[in-house]
Amino acid sequence: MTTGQTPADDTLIRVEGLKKHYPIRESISKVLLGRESRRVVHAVDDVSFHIRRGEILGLAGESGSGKTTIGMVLAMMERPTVGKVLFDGVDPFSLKGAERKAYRRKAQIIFQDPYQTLNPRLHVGDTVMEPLEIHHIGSSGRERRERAIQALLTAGLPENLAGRYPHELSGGQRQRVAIARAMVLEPSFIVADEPVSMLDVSVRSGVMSVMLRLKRQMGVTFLFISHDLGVTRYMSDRIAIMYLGRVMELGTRDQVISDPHHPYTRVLLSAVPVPEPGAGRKRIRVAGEIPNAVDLPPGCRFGPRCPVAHDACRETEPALAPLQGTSDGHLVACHFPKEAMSHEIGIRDAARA
Amino acid sequence: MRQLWRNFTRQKLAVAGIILLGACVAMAVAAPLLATHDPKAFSIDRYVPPGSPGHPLGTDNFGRDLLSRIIYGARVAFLVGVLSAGISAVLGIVIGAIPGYFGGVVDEVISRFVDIFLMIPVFFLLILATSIFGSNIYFVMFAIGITTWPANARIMRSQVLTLKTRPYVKASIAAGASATRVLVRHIIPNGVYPVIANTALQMGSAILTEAGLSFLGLGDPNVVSWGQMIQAGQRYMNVAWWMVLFPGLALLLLVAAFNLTGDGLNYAFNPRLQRRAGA
Amino acid sequence: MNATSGALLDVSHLKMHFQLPSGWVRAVDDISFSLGRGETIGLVGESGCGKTSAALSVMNLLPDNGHIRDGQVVFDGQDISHFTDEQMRRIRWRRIAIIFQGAMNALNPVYRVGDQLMDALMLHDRAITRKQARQRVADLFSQVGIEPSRMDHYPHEYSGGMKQRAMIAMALLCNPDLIICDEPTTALDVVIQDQIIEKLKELQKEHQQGMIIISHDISVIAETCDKIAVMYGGKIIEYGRTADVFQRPSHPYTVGLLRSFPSIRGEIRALVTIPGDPPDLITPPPGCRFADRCPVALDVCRQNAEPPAREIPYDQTPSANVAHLCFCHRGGELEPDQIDFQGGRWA
Repeated sequence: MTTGQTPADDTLIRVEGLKKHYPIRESISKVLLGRESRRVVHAVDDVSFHIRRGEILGLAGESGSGKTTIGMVLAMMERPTVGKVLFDGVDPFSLKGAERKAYRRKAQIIFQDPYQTLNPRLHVGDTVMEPLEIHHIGSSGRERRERAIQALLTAGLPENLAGRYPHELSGGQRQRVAIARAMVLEPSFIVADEPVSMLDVSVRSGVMSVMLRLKRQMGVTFLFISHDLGVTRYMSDRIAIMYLGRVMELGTRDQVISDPHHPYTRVLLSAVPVPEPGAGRKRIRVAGEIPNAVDLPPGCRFGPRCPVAHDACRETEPALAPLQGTSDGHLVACHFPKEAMSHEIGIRDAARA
Repeated sequence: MRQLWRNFTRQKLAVAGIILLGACVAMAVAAPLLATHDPKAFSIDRYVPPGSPGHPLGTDNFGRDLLSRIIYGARVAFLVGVLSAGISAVLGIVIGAIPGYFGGVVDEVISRFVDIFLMIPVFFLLILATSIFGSNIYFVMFAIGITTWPANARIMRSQVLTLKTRPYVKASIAAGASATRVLVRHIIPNGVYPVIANTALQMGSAILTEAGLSFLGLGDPNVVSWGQMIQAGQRYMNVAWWMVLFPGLALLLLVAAFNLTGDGLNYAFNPRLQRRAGA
Repeated sequence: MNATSGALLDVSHLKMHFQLPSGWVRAVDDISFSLGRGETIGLVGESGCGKTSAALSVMNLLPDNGHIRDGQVVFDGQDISHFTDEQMRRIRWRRIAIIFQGAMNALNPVYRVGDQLMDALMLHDRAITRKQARQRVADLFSQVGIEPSRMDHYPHEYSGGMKQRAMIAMALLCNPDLIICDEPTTALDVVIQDQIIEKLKELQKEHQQGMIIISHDISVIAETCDKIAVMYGGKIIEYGRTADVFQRPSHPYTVGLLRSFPSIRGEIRALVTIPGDPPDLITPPPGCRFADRCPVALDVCRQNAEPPAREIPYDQTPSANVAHLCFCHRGGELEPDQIDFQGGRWA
């Protein structure tokens, strides 16, 4: 559990003990034989964190880490199996009907694929106006149109794009339309799920700077989900590293990137290629591949692959907690954090010979 | 849209189909102008062979001009095709979209219902129904419509299942859209294309079904339909073979036109089906 | 370009265009590069720049509407750009292999992975027996890091990383002299990506093949390639040893590209966005294709189509035979810091 260092009014989103499990459909024969399926995919397995108002929390991890699932829960697209999500102190999943619909104005989501994120048969302007129509904002069609255009401008798009169809726009432009659509309701929180992964490199920075501008000038809070650590570092104030459904490390950007405590974080960082020829990156070897999230190993879930695993790691799952004697908000889920690695396993030089 | 048109026109057969279709529509619409005789008018010129002056396609056993009857018959054919397939499409879209979108129990129950309907042998049901309730043409169209929708429902459901996962649909839900809005504004307009293609095919098949019923003597005797004409002409095959041939040809051409157009639409929506393996 | 008579691959002034109803798409428009044995060259660029088309042209693996309209592809002394289908078939896979983008999806799900590789091998080597083929595939699996016992598994039992390794094994089946890797690491997790990169380098060191790596990820290219060719609008706009190009990027596009990449190292500074869109390859603009997006374009850039190759002097000792070339009217004039992308139109 997170140690409550931040005062409550600074916190916009609080996640407590969140679990999201998806049951597995067993084969017909098992169903007929009456063998109930107890197996589930542990997409998110007991996650707790908070997001402060106006900050960008980067959620990084590889496939199967659960980062997208968390994003979907926070955007109210999925229900938690267990656990609570508090938005400004209120649990949106306890709301019904009109109240729940009103909540949706506060939290929006941006998706990964710019080529599928807009209805191909609607004008861009209509797409951005739709949320306004849904919530009956604005007293006339003209007013709604005005607001939609404002949103497009905020996303860095010219007004005349409103009459175009998505297929006339580039990937970067489409993603900006998606941002405009998310912003038109003036939400306080946006989940950005891999918003730039499918864009060309030179276009990414434009879209990222739109989001940064929204944060700085309009105080929008973001959950920025990405598998790309370079992008995560650029965008985030704080970063959470996820593995197989759990948060392994959580801290400020500099803490996590420059002073990682968890072995997995260190493995991950050492595996990222850098655009400096001959820089001599040292990779940390790790065994095997990411296991499936169904049959989890006993104890720490990173244990089987961890280069510095001890026996204790196979027994109990470590909780996300601060390093002993510190209170700087840097949390690790490890029994032996910051374990010296160089003499434990071979580090091979990643530079080309 | 333009891309669809381009895909469609690239297939010569589809273009031929739609031209033929267009010609038939024109013929049906302009019937009063094109027909030289009143299709129901009896005359003393019975069994006139085709090629005779005044009767290019001949006359039947009552002396009615075949060409005029065929031209007016097109109206009935289109009426049957459009109305039956139309009812079928609307029913199919609605009954297919709902289980696809809502899933769960709703999906299970309605899908079983659709399966049951699929088991019904349409033609026999129609024979039964018309024998009991009489053979009014509107009843026949209605009956065809409410027995052929399962195919459309299946198609629509699978489209909805796919489209449900599209980000723009999720974005609309995230913005608070109701199920109705999501279905009507986003899912159905984007998923309806294969249903449209299937509807074109169903139009042809509805016409054939009506012709079949007429052939069995269950058709609406007040109406000039090609099926009726074939049925009536059976008896006189030795004497006036043209009474059967020309309506038959007309049926063939119109149904072929619908089928070619329908296939063309299918390929236009799914260009990948067009390419030959190995390209 | 360097006169490399002993080069494994020498592409000169290659032009490959696609014929569409609306006109010819000049996908690859006069590119030249060379590659020696044991060397790796990276083709870098964004979508639509022609890098994949260039690679496919080398192997003459073009769709029906793709035609090589000019230039030469000299492979091991022979110009293969005009080879017949039959001649190409003898070369493909045996001497030049390719790992396609998303190749992991190229495995047929209803056949065992080992069988698929064995079939491919036996297709190219009629003399080999099934037993020998099996042995060779098992060897290759070990080399790429898959347990040979997994030969009898089906593709769905493989992870993404394993499938990619299987595709690398498939490319190595006939021990080719040249391997083309199209986006070998996209769609893989970071750790696996790293393992694949490492494995490719290992294999190359052992077998001394030439490698062409196509990627939009400059960090992958930086770590794996000896030479780099930056492509834009169907042309190579900068070319040279990787270290030289990164140290002193001279073409404004290269500068923009390098500066738009967020790294996990170094200080965080504002990233560059290159405004505008890639050029229309059916009717390319007169003048330099990057001119309308270039922050330092002059009038001559918009008029004269062929920016000349300017050689950029080395800051350090030059490597053997590899000149650092920049195809820009202002090539070499400006320091990278002087090329400023602030402002500009909507991206």
